[in-house]
Amino acid sequence: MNKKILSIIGVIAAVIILGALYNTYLGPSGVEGEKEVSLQVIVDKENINEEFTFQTDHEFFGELLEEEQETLKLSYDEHSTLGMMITGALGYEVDSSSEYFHILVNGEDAEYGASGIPLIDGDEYVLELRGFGEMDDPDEGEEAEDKEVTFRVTIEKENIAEEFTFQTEQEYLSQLIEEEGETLEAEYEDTDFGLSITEILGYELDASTEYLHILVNGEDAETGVSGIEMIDGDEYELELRSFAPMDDEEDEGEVSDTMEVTFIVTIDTEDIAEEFTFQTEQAYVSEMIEDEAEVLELEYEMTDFGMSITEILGYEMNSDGEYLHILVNGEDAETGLSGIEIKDGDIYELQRRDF
Amino acid sequence: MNSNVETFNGMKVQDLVLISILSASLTAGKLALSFVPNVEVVSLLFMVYTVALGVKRTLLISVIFATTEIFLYGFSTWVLGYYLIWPILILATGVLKGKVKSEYGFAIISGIFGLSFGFFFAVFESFFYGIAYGMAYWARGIPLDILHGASNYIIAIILFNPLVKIFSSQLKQYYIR
Repeated sequence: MNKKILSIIGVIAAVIILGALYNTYLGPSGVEGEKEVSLQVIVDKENINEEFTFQTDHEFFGELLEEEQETLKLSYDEHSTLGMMITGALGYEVDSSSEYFHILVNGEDAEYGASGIPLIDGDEYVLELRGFGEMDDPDEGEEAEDKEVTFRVTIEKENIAEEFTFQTEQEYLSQLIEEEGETLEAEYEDTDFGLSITEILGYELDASTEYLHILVNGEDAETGVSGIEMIDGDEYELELRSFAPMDDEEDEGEVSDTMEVTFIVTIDTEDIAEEFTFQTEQAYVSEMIEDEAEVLELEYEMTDFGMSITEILGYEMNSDGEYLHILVNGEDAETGLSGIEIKDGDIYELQRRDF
Repeated sequence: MNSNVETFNGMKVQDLVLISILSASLTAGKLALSFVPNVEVVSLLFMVYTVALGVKRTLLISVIFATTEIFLYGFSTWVLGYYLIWPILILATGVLKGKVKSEYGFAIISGIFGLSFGFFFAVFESFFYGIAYGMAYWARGIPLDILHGASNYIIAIILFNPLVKIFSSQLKQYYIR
Protein backbone atom coordinates (compact mmCIF):
# COMPACT_ATOMS: atom_id res chain seq x y z
CA MET A 1 0.00 0.00 0.00
CA ASN A 2 2.86 2.33 0.85
CA LYS A 3 4.28 1.67 -2.57
CA LYS A 4 1.00 2.74 -4.16
CA ILE A 5 0.80 5.91 -2.10
CA LEU A 6 4.38 6.70 -3.03
CA SER A 7 3.62 6.24 -6.71
CA ILE A 8 0.56 8.49 -6.41
CA ILE A 9 2.64 11.16 -4.68
CA GLY A 10 5.22 10.77 -7.44
CA VAL A 11 2.56 11.29 -10.12
CA ILE A 12 1.18 14.37 -8.36
CA ALA A 13 4.71 15.79 -8.09
CA ALA A 14 5.24 15.06 -11.80
CA VAL A 15 1.98 16.92 -12.61
CA ILE A 16 3.14 19.96 -10.64
CA ILE A 17 6.57 19.95 -12.34
CA LEU A 18 5.11 19.41 -15.83
CA GLY A 19 2.48 22.10 -15.21
CA ALA A 20 5.20 24.55 -14.15
CA LEU A 21 7.30 23.69 -17.21
CA TYR A 22 4.28 24.20 -19.47
CA ASN A 23 3.53 27.58 -17.94
CA THR A 24 7.17 28.64 -18.24
CA TYR A 25 7.89 27.48 -21.77
CA LEU A 26 4.64 26.87 -23.62
CA GLY A 27 1.82 28.66 -21.85
CA PRO A 28 0.81 32.25 -22.44
CA SER A 29 2.66 34.62 -20.14
CA GLY A 30 1.52 38.01 -19.00
CA VAL A 31 3.52 41.16 -18.37
CA GLU A 32 3.31 42.97 -15.08
CA GLY A 33 2.96 46.76 -14.81
CA GLU A 34 0.78 49.48 -16.25
CA LYS A 35 -0.25 49.13 -19.86
CA GLU A 36 -2.37 51.12 -22.25
CA VAL A 37 -4.39 49.04 -24.66
CA SER A 38 -7.28 49.71 -26.99
CA LEU A 39 -10.39 47.61 -27.49
CA GLN A 40 -12.81 47.87 -30.37
CA VAL A 41 -16.20 46.17 -30.22
CA ILE A 42 -17.84 45.48 -33.58
CA VAL A 43 -21.35 44.16 -34.10
CA ASP A 44 -21.96 44.90 -37.76
CA LYS A 45 -25.57 43.89 -37.87
CA GLU A 46 -26.46 46.30 -35.05
CA ASN A 47 -24.20 49.07 -36.40
CA ILE A 48 -22.16 48.88 -33.22
CA ASN A 49 -18.54 49.93 -33.61
CA GLU A 50 -17.03 51.46 -30.52
CA GLU A 51 -13.45 51.88 -29.44
CA PHE A 52 -12.17 52.13 -25.89
CA THR A 53 -8.75 52.83 -24.42
CA PHE A 54 -7.91 51.27 -21.08
CA GLN A 55 -5.09 51.73 -18.59
CA THR A 56 -4.57 48.46 -16.79
CA ASP A 57 -2.24 46.57 -14.49
CA HIS A 58 -3.73 43.20 -15.36
CA GLU A 59 -1.73 40.55 -17.13
CA PHE A 60 -4.43 38.88 -19.22
CA PHE A 61 -7.13 40.14 -21.56
CA GLY A 62 -9.80 38.17 -19.68
CA GLU A 63 -8.95 40.01 -16.45
CA LEU A 64 -9.26 43.35 -18.22
CA LEU A 65 -12.68 42.36 -19.58
CA GLU A 66 -13.82 41.39 -16.08
CA GLU A 67 -12.61 44.73 -14.71
CA GLU A 68 -14.30 46.72 -17.48
CA GLN A 69 -17.44 44.59 -17.49
CA GLU A 70 -19.70 47.57 -16.73
CA THR A 71 -18.18 49.91 -19.30
CA LEU A 72 -18.40 47.22 -21.97
CA LYS A 73 -21.83 46.02 -20.84
CA LEU A 74 -20.22 42.62 -21.03
CA SER A 75 -21.68 39.24 -20.23
CA TYR A 76 -19.62 36.08 -20.23
CA ASP A 77 -19.48 32.51 -19.06
CA GLU A 78 -16.41 32.17 -16.90
CA HIS A 79 -16.67 28.48 -16.37
CA SER A 80 -16.97 27.21 -19.92
CA THR A 81 -14.61 24.34 -20.67
CA LEU A 82 -12.79 26.64 -23.08
CA GLY A 83 -12.15 29.35 -20.50
CA MET A 84 -13.88 32.71 -20.55
CA MET A 85 -16.61 32.72 -23.17
CA ILE A 86 -17.98 36.14 -24.09
CA THR A 87 -21.74 35.95 -24.51
CA GLY A 88 -22.59 39.61 -24.93
CA ALA A 89 -21.08 43.07 -25.37
CA LEU A 90 -22.47 46.62 -25.49
CA GLY A 91 -25.91 45.22 -24.85
CA TYR A 92 -25.83 42.71 -27.71
CA GLU A 93 -26.33 39.10 -26.64
CA VAL A 94 -24.95 36.43 -28.98
CA ASP A 95 -27.06 33.61 -30.34
CA SER A 96 -24.61 30.91 -29.29
CA SER A 97 -25.97 28.44 -31.83
CA SER A 98 -24.78 30.49 -34.78
CA GLU A 99 -22.42 33.26 -33.71
CA TYR A 100 -19.64 34.21 -31.32
CA PHE A 101 -17.31 37.07 -30.47
CA HIS A 102 -14.14 36.63 -32.47
CA ILE A 103 -11.04 38.10 -30.86
CA LEU A 104 -8.36 39.85 -32.89
CA VAL A 105 -5.05 40.97 -31.44
CA ASN A 106 -3.33 43.67 -33.50
CA GLY A 107 -5.44 42.67 -36.50
CA GLU A 108 -4.66 38.96 -36.30
CA ASP A 109 -6.80 36.11 -35.03
CA ALA A 110 -6.13 35.46 -31.36
CA GLU A 111 -4.40 32.16 -30.60
CA TYR A 112 -6.05 31.72 -27.20
CA GLY A 113 -9.36 32.50 -25.56
CA ALA A 114 -9.79 35.76 -23.64
CA SER A 115 -8.36 34.30 -20.42
CA GLY A 116 -5.18 33.17 -22.18
CA ILE A 117 -4.30 36.34 -24.10
CA PRO A 118 -1.47 38.23 -22.41
CA LEU A 119 -1.95 42.01 -22.29
CA ILE A 120 0.93 43.92 -23.87
CA ASP A 121 1.32 47.68 -23.75
CA GLY A 122 0.01 49.31 -26.93
CA ASP A 123 -1.82 46.23 -28.19
CA GLU A 124 -5.07 46.66 -30.06
CA TYR A 125 -7.83 44.18 -29.35
CA VAL A 126 -11.01 43.70 -31.32
CA LEU A 127 -14.12 41.83 -30.32
CA GLU A 128 -16.05 41.19 -33.50
CA LEU A 129 -19.33 39.34 -33.79
CA ARG A 130 -18.99 36.56 -36.35
CA GLY A 131 -21.03 33.62 -37.57
CA PHE A 132 -19.58 30.12 -37.19
CA GLY A 133 -19.39 29.75 -40.96
CA GLU A 134 -16.85 32.55 -41.18
CA MET A 135 -14.63 30.89 -38.62
CA ASP A 136 -14.28 27.60 -40.39
CA ASP A 137 -13.91 28.84 -43.92
CA PRO A 138 -10.38 27.85 -44.86
CA ASP A 139 -10.66 29.75 -48.13
CA GLU A 140 -11.39 33.02 -46.39
CA GLY A 141 -7.79 34.16 -46.63
CA GLU A 142 -7.50 33.25 -50.28
CA GLU A 143 -10.66 35.08 -51.20
CA ALA A 144 -9.36 38.31 -49.85
CA GLU A 145 -6.19 38.09 -51.94
CA ASP A 146 -6.00 40.41 -54.87
CA LYS A 147 -5.12 38.64 -58.10
CA GLU A 148 -4.19 40.01 -61.48
CA VAL A 149 -5.24 37.82 -64.36
CA THR A 150 -5.34 38.16 -68.11
CA PHE A 151 -8.54 37.35 -69.94
CA ARG A 152 -8.72 36.92 -73.71
CA VAL A 153 -11.74 36.37 -75.89
CA THR A 154 -11.21 35.09 -79.41
CA ILE A 155 -14.04 34.76 -81.89
CA GLU A 156 -12.18 34.23 -85.10
CA LYS A 157 -15.10 34.34 -87.47
CA GLU A 158 -16.05 37.77 -86.18
CA ASN A 159 -12.46 38.99 -86.03
CA ILE A 160 -12.88 39.48 -82.32
CA ALA A 161 -9.69 39.11 -80.31
CA GLU A 162 -9.73 41.20 -77.19
CA GLU A 163 -7.54 41.04 -74.14
CA PHE A 164 -8.39 42.32 -70.70
CA THR A 165 -6.44 42.53 -67.48
CA PHE A 166 -8.51 42.22 -64.36
CA GLN A 167 -7.70 42.79 -60.71
CA THR A 168 -9.96 40.59 -58.68
CA GLU A 169 -10.51 39.17 -55.25
CA GLN A 170 -12.82 36.50 -56.59
CA GLU A 171 -11.87 32.87 -56.30
CA TYR A 172 -13.32 31.26 -59.40
CA LEU A 173 -13.25 32.31 -63.05
CA SER A 174 -17.05 32.22 -63.23
CA GLN A 175 -17.22 34.77 -60.39
CA LEU A 176 -14.83 37.04 -62.29
CA ILE A 177 -16.98 36.79 -65.44
CA GLU A 178 -20.05 37.68 -63.39
CA GLU A 179 -18.15 40.57 -61.77
CA GLU A 180 -16.93 41.88 -65.15
CA GLY A 181 -20.17 41.05 -66.94
CA GLU A 182 -20.61 44.58 -68.22
CA THR A 183 -17.05 44.96 -69.54
CA LEU A 184 -17.25 41.59 -71.25
CA GLU A 185 -20.79 42.24 -72.50
CA ALA A 186 -21.45 38.79 -71.15
CA GLU A 187 -24.77 37.05 -70.87
CA TYR A 188 -24.82 33.73 -69.08
CA GLU A 189 -27.02 31.26 -67.37
CA ASP A 190 -26.52 29.04 -64.36
CA THR A 191 -26.79 25.43 -65.42
CA ASP A 192 -26.27 22.16 -63.57
CA PHE A 193 -22.73 22.23 -64.94
CA GLY A 194 -22.02 25.71 -63.63
CA LEU A 195 -21.97 29.02 -65.43
CA SER A 196 -22.69 28.78 -69.15
CA ILE A 197 -21.88 31.81 -71.30
CA THR A 198 -24.48 32.50 -73.97
CA GLU A 199 -23.18 35.81 -75.24
CA ILE A 200 -19.84 37.58 -74.99
CA LEU A 201 -18.55 40.82 -76.49
CA GLY A 202 -21.86 41.07 -78.27
CA TYR A 203 -21.51 37.69 -79.93
CA GLU A 204 -24.39 35.37 -79.28
CA LEU A 205 -23.43 31.72 -79.28
CA ASP A 206 -25.38 29.18 -81.27
CA ALA A 207 -25.36 26.50 -78.60
CA SER A 208 -26.23 23.78 -81.08
CA THR A 209 -23.08 24.18 -83.13
CA GLU A 210 -20.51 26.07 -81.14
CA TYR A 211 -19.08 26.67 -77.70
CA LEU A 212 -16.48 28.71 -75.91
CA HIS A 213 -13.40 26.60 -75.44
CA ILE A 214 -11.48 27.51 -72.29
CA LEU A 215 -7.70 27.66 -72.12
CA VAL A 216 -5.80 28.22 -68.89
CA ASN A 217 -2.24 29.40 -69.46
CA GLY A 218 -2.45 28.05 -73.01
CA GLU A 219 -3.69 24.61 -72.01
CA ASP A 220 -7.15 23.14 -72.35
CA ALA A 221 -9.11 23.63 -69.16
CA GLU A 222 -10.21 20.50 -67.37
CA THR A 223 -13.42 22.01 -66.01
CA GLY A 224 -15.93 24.70 -66.82
CA VAL A 225 -15.48 28.32 -65.73
CA SER A 226 -17.15 27.61 -62.39
CA GLY A 227 -14.50 25.02 -61.55
CA ILE A 228 -11.44 27.05 -62.44
CA GLU A 229 -9.76 28.46 -59.38
CA MET A 230 -7.90 31.62 -60.27
CA ILE A 231 -4.25 32.06 -59.44
CA ASP A 232 -2.43 35.37 -59.59
CA GLY A 233 -0.84 35.85 -63.02
CA ASP A 234 -2.97 33.25 -64.81
CA GLU A 235 -4.00 33.74 -68.42
CA TYR A 236 -7.46 32.65 -69.41
CA GLU A 237 -8.71 32.46 -72.94
CA LEU A 238 -12.21 31.85 -74.24
CA GLU A 239 -12.09 30.74 -77.84
CA LEU A 240 -15.14 30.16 -79.97
CA ARG A 241 -15.03 26.68 -81.44
CA SER A 242 -17.47 24.53 -83.37
CA PHE A 243 -18.55 21.14 -82.24
CA ALA A 244 -16.97 18.51 -84.46
CA PRO A 245 -19.77 16.60 -86.20
CA MET A 246 -19.91 13.31 -84.39
CA ASP A 247 -21.67 10.82 -86.60
CA ASP A 248 -22.56 12.56 -89.76
CA GLU A 249 -19.34 12.40 -91.69
CA GLU A 250 -21.08 13.05 -94.97
CA ASP A 251 -22.19 16.45 -93.72
CA GLU A 252 -18.62 17.26 -92.87
CA GLY A 253 -17.67 16.47 -96.44
CA GLU A 254 -20.36 18.77 -97.76
CA VAL A 255 -19.18 21.68 -95.68
CA SER A 256 -15.81 21.70 -97.34
CA ASP A 257 -17.32 20.99 -100.77
CA THR A 258 -17.61 23.85 -103.20
CA MET A 259 -21.06 25.36 -103.18
CA GLU A 260 -22.65 27.59 -105.76
CA VAL A 261 -24.83 30.41 -104.59
CA THR A 262 -26.47 33.46 -106.09
CA PHE A 263 -25.78 36.86 -104.60
CA ILE A 264 -27.95 39.84 -105.51
CA VAL A 265 -27.33 43.44 -104.49
CA THR A 266 -30.12 45.97 -104.94
CA ILE A 267 -29.61 49.67 -104.25
CA ASP A 268 -32.94 51.13 -105.34
CA THR A 269 -31.91 54.78 -105.03
CA GLU A 270 -29.02 54.28 -107.44
CA ASP A 271 -30.74 51.86 -109.78
CA ILE A 272 -28.18 49.25 -108.93
CA ALA A 273 -29.35 45.66 -109.21
CA GLU A 274 -26.60 43.22 -109.80
CA GLU A 275 -26.56 39.47 -109.60
CA PHE A 276 -23.48 37.36 -109.00
CA THR A 277 -22.86 33.66 -108.90
CA PHE A 278 -20.18 32.61 -106.50
CA GLN A 279 -18.42 29.30 -106.03
CA THR A 280 -17.39 29.08 -102.41
CA GLU A 281 -16.12 26.68 -99.80
CA GLN A 282 -16.80 29.07 -96.96
CA ALA A 283 -19.30 28.22 -94.26
CA TYR A 284 -20.85 31.64 -93.72
CA VAL A 285 -22.04 34.42 -96.04
CA SER A 286 -19.81 36.98 -94.32
CA GLU A 287 -16.77 34.85 -95.09
CA MET A 288 -17.81 34.45 -98.70
CA ILE A 289 -18.28 38.15 -99.32
CA GLU A 290 -14.97 38.86 -97.63
CA ASP A 291 -13.44 36.59 -100.28
CA GLU A 292 -15.35 38.42 -102.97
CA ALA A 293 -14.74 41.90 -101.56
CA GLU A 294 -13.00 43.10 -104.70
CA VAL A 295 -15.76 41.95 -107.04
CA LEU A 296 -18.38 43.48 -104.78
CA GLU A 297 -16.36 46.66 -104.26
CA LEU A 298 -16.92 46.01 -100.64
CA GLU A 299 -15.95 47.96 -97.54
CA TYR A 300 -17.02 46.65 -94.17
CA GLU A 301 -16.27 46.67 -90.49
CA MET A 302 -16.58 44.06 -87.81
CA THR A 303 -18.90 45.15 -85.04
CA ASP A 304 -20.13 43.45 -81.92
CA PHE A 305 -23.02 42.21 -84.01
CA GLY A 306 -20.84 40.75 -86.73
CA MET A 307 -20.00 42.07 -90.17
CA SER A 308 -21.43 45.47 -91.11
CA ILE A 309 -21.15 46.61 -94.74
CA THR A 310 -20.29 50.29 -95.15
CA GLU A 311 -19.87 50.35 -98.91
CA ILE A 312 -20.91 48.02 -101.71
CA LEU A 313 -20.68 48.31 -105.50
CA GLY A 314 -19.34 51.82 -105.03
CA TYR A 315 -22.33 52.91 -102.97
CA GLU A 316 -21.52 54.25 -99.52
CA MET A 317 -24.10 53.43 -96.91
CA ASN A 318 -25.52 56.18 -94.76
CA SER A 319 -25.62 54.30 -91.49
CA ASP A 320 -28.01 56.77 -89.87
CA GLY A 321 -30.91 56.43 -92.25
CA GLU A 322 -30.49 53.22 -94.19
CA TYR A 323 -29.35 49.65 -93.99
CA LEU A 324 -28.86 46.59 -96.11
CA HIS A 325 -31.73 44.23 -95.62
CA ILE A 326 -30.79 40.59 -96.09
CA LEU A 327 -32.99 38.03 -97.78
CA VAL A 328 -32.22 34.32 -97.94
CA ASN A 329 -34.10 32.55 -100.71
CA GLY A 330 -36.57 35.42 -100.76
CA GLU A 331 -37.21 35.41 -97.02
CA ASP A 332 -36.02 37.85 -94.39
CA ALA A 333 -32.84 36.61 -92.78
CA GLU A 334 -32.95 35.86 -89.09
CA THR A 335 -29.37 36.86 -88.37
CA GLY A 336 -26.65 39.09 -89.75
CA LEU A 337 -24.30 38.02 -92.53
CA SER A 338 -21.94 36.39 -90.06
CA GLY A 339 -24.67 34.10 -88.84
CA ILE A 340 -25.99 32.87 -92.18
CA GLU A 341 -24.68 29.45 -93.05
CA ILE A 342 -24.15 28.89 -96.74
CA LYS A 343 -26.08 26.10 -98.43
CA ASP A 344 -25.56 25.00 -101.97
CA GLY A 345 -28.00 26.73 -104.36
CA ASP A 346 -29.05 29.43 -101.92
CA ILE A 347 -29.96 32.89 -103.13
CA TYR A 348 -28.82 35.77 -100.97
CA GLU A 349 -30.04 39.25 -101.56
CA LEU A 350 -28.94 42.55 -100.03
CA GLN A 351 -31.53 45.31 -100.43
CA ARG A 352 -30.93 48.90 -99.44
CA ARG A 353 -33.77 50.02 -97.22
CA ASP A 354 -34.60 53.06 -95.14
CA PHE A 355 -34.91 52.65 -91.41
CA MET B 1 -36.60 -18.79 -21.40
CA ASN B 2 -33.16 -20.26 -21.70
CA SER B 3 -30.65 -17.41 -21.66
CA ASN B 4 -28.19 -19.64 -23.43
CA VAL B 5 -30.19 -19.56 -26.69
CA GLU B 6 -28.05 -18.30 -29.55
CA THR B 7 -29.43 -15.20 -31.16
CA PHE B 8 -27.11 -13.40 -33.56
CA ASN B 9 -23.61 -14.28 -34.71
CA GLY B 10 -23.29 -16.77 -31.91
CA MET B 11 -24.15 -14.21 -29.24
CA LYS B 12 -26.34 -15.14 -26.35
CA VAL B 13 -29.19 -13.13 -24.92
CA GLN B 14 -27.16 -12.62 -21.75
CA ASP B 15 -24.34 -11.13 -23.87
CA LEU B 16 -26.74 -8.65 -25.43
CA VAL B 17 -28.07 -7.65 -22.03
CA LEU B 18 -24.61 -7.43 -20.49
CA ILE B 19 -23.23 -5.32 -23.33
CA SER B 20 -26.17 -2.92 -23.02
CA ILE B 21 -25.86 -2.58 -19.24
CA LEU B 22 -22.10 -2.08 -19.37
CA SER B 23 -22.45 0.55 -22.13
CA ALA B 24 -24.95 2.34 -19.91
CA SER B 25 -22.55 2.10 -16.96
CA LEU B 26 -19.86 3.84 -19.05
CA THR B 27 -22.17 6.69 -20.04
CA ALA B 28 -23.34 7.04 -16.43
CA GLY B 29 -19.73 6.97 -15.19
CA LYS B 30 -18.72 9.63 -17.68
CA LEU B 31 -21.64 11.91 -16.82
CA ALA B 32 -21.12 11.48 -13.06
CA LEU B 33 -17.58 12.88 -13.29
CA SER B 34 -18.17 15.34 -16.11
CA PHE B 35 -17.96 18.31 -13.74
CA VAL B 36 -14.24 17.62 -13.18
CA PRO B 37 -12.32 18.34 -16.39
CA ASN B 38 -10.47 15.30 -17.72
CA VAL B 39 -10.99 13.11 -14.69
CA GLU B 40 -12.93 10.07 -15.81
CA VAL B 41 -13.58 6.39 -15.11
CA VAL B 42 -14.31 5.43 -18.73
CA SER B 43 -10.72 4.38 -19.45
CA LEU B 44 -10.60 2.31 -16.27
CA LEU B 45 -13.93 0.61 -16.97
CA PHE B 46 -12.93 -0.25 -20.54
CA MET B 47 -9.74 -1.86 -19.22
CA VAL B 48 -11.60 -3.75 -16.51
CA TYR B 49 -14.21 -5.00 -19.01
CA THR B 50 -11.50 -6.06 -21.47
CA VAL B 51 -9.62 -8.05 -18.82
CA ALA B 52 -12.76 -9.68 -17.41
CA LEU B 53 -14.99 -10.02 -20.47
CA GLY B 54 -12.63 -10.16 -23.44
CA VAL B 55 -11.83 -7.89 -26.36
CA LYS B 56 -14.76 -8.75 -28.66
CA ARG B 57 -17.57 -7.93 -26.23
CA THR B 58 -15.78 -4.81 -24.95
CA LEU B 59 -15.37 -3.56 -28.52
CA LEU B 60 -19.14 -3.85 -28.98
CA ILE B 61 -19.63 -1.96 -25.71
CA SER B 62 -17.38 0.84 -27.04
CA VAL B 63 -19.43 1.13 -30.25
CA ILE B 64 -22.65 1.54 -28.25
CA PHE B 65 -20.94 3.98 -25.88
CA ALA B 66 -19.67 6.15 -28.77
CA THR B 67 -23.08 6.07 -30.45
CA THR B 68 -24.75 7.14 -27.21
CA GLU B 69 -22.38 10.13 -27.14
CA ILE B 70 -23.85 11.24 -30.49
CA PHE B 71 -27.35 11.05 -29.01
CA LEU B 72 -26.24 13.14 -26.04
CA TYR B 73 -23.97 15.73 -27.63
CA GLY B 74 -24.87 15.71 -31.31
CA PHE B 75 -22.70 14.75 -34.22
CA SER B 76 -19.23 16.26 -34.49
CA THR B 77 -15.71 15.24 -35.43
CA TRP B 78 -14.59 14.39 -31.90
CA VAL B 79 -17.43 11.87 -31.63
CA LEU B 80 -16.04 10.12 -34.69
CA GLY B 81 -12.71 9.96 -32.86
CA TYR B 82 -14.44 8.04 -30.06
CA TYR B 83 -15.11 5.18 -32.48
CA LEU B 84 -11.33 4.84 -32.83
CA ILE B 85 -9.73 5.82 -29.58
CA TRP B 86 -11.62 3.49 -27.25
CA PRO B 87 -11.05 0.42 -29.45
CA ILE B 88 -7.32 1.34 -29.43
CA LEU B 89 -7.33 1.24 -25.60
CA ILE B 90 -9.30 -2.02 -25.61
CA LEU B 91 -6.96 -3.67 -28.12
CA ALA B 92 -3.89 -2.44 -26.21
CA THR B 93 -5.33 -3.83 -22.96
CA GLY B 94 -6.22 -7.10 -24.72
CA VAL B 95 -2.66 -7.50 -26.01
CA LEU B 96 -1.08 -6.74 -22.63
CA LYS B 97 -3.57 -8.80 -20.62
CA GLY B 98 -1.45 -11.93 -20.62
CA LYS B 99 1.84 -10.11 -20.21
CA VAL B 100 1.11 -7.55 -17.49
CA LYS B 101 0.42 -9.08 -14.12
CA SER B 102 0.24 -6.18 -11.66
CA GLU B 103 -2.09 -3.19 -11.51
CA TYR B 104 0.95 -0.93 -12.01
CA GLY B 105 1.23 -2.04 -15.62
CA PHE B 106 -2.44 -1.27 -16.32
CA ALA B 107 -2.21 2.03 -14.42
CA ILE B 108 0.76 3.04 -16.57
CA ILE B 109 -1.16 2.13 -19.77
CA SER B 110 -4.12 4.13 -18.52
CA GLY B 111 -1.84 7.06 -17.66
CA ILE B 112 -0.14 7.02 -21.07
CA PHE B 113 -3.55 6.79 -22.70
CA GLY B 114 -4.74 9.88 -20.81
CA LEU B 115 -1.56 11.78 -21.64
CA SER B 116 -1.86 11.04 -25.36
CA PHE B 117 -5.63 11.60 -25.51
CA GLY B 118 -5.27 15.22 -26.69
CA PHE B 119 -2.54 14.29 -29.17
CA PHE B 120 -4.73 11.59 -30.71
CA PHE B 121 -7.60 14.03 -31.19
CA ALA B 122 -5.19 16.69 -32.52
CA VAL B 123 -4.07 14.26 -35.23
CA PHE B 124 -7.68 13.25 -35.88
CA GLU B 125 -8.91 16.86 -36.09
CA SER B 126 -5.99 17.74 -38.40
CA PHE B 127 -7.59 15.60 -41.09
CA PHE B 128 -10.63 17.86 -40.96
CA TYR B 129 -9.22 21.30 -40.17
CA GLY B 130 -5.53 21.19 -41.09
CA ILE B 131 -2.27 20.57 -39.24
CA ALA B 132 -2.08 24.13 -37.84
CA TYR B 133 -5.43 23.66 -36.14
CA GLY B 134 -4.33 20.26 -34.82
CA MET B 135 -1.10 21.68 -33.36
CA ALA B 136 -2.96 24.55 -31.70
CA TYR B 137 -5.57 22.11 -30.37
CA TRP B 138 -2.88 19.91 -28.86
CA ALA B 139 -0.76 22.71 -27.40
CA ARG B 140 -3.83 24.34 -25.88
CA GLY B 141 -4.80 21.07 -24.21
CA ILE B 142 -1.42 19.96 -22.82
CA PRO B 143 -2.25 20.95 -19.20
CA LEU B 144 -5.51 19.01 -19.45
CA ASP B 145 -3.68 16.01 -20.94
CA ILE B 146 -1.25 16.03 -18.01
CA LEU B 147 -4.20 16.10 -15.63
CA HIS B 148 -5.91 13.33 -17.61
CA GLY B 149 -2.83 11.09 -17.55
CA ALA B 150 -2.22 11.60 -13.83
CA SER B 151 -5.84 11.07 -12.82
CA ASN B 152 -6.07 7.97 -15.01
CA TYR B 153 -2.98 6.53 -13.30
CA ILE B 154 -4.25 7.31 -9.79
CA ILE B 155 -7.76 5.97 -10.46
CA ALA B 156 -6.38 2.78 -12.01
CA ILE B 157 -3.79 2.12 -9.30
CA ILE B 158 -6.52 2.36 -6.65
CA LEU B 159 -9.52 0.81 -8.40
CA PHE B 160 -8.28 -1.54 -11.13
CA ASN B 161 -7.61 -4.64 -9.00
CA PRO B 162 -10.71 -4.42 -6.78
CA LEU B 163 -12.97 -3.81 -9.78
CA VAL B 164 -11.52 -6.69 -11.81
CA LYS B 165 -11.91 -8.94 -8.77
CA ILE B 166 -15.55 -7.97 -8.10
CA PHE B 167 -16.51 -7.98 -11.78
CA SER B 168 -14.92 -11.38 -12.42
CA SER B 169 -16.58 -12.97 -9.40
CA GLN B 170 -19.97 -11.57 -10.43
CA LEU B 171 -19.45 -12.94 -13.93
CA LYS B 172 -18.57 -16.35 -12.50
CA GLN B 173 -21.70 -16.31 -10.41
CA TYR B 174 -24.22 -15.12 -13.01
CA TYR B 175 -22.68 -15.50 -16.41
CA ILE B 176 -23.22 -18.89 -18.08
CA ARG B 177 -20.29 -19.63 -20.36
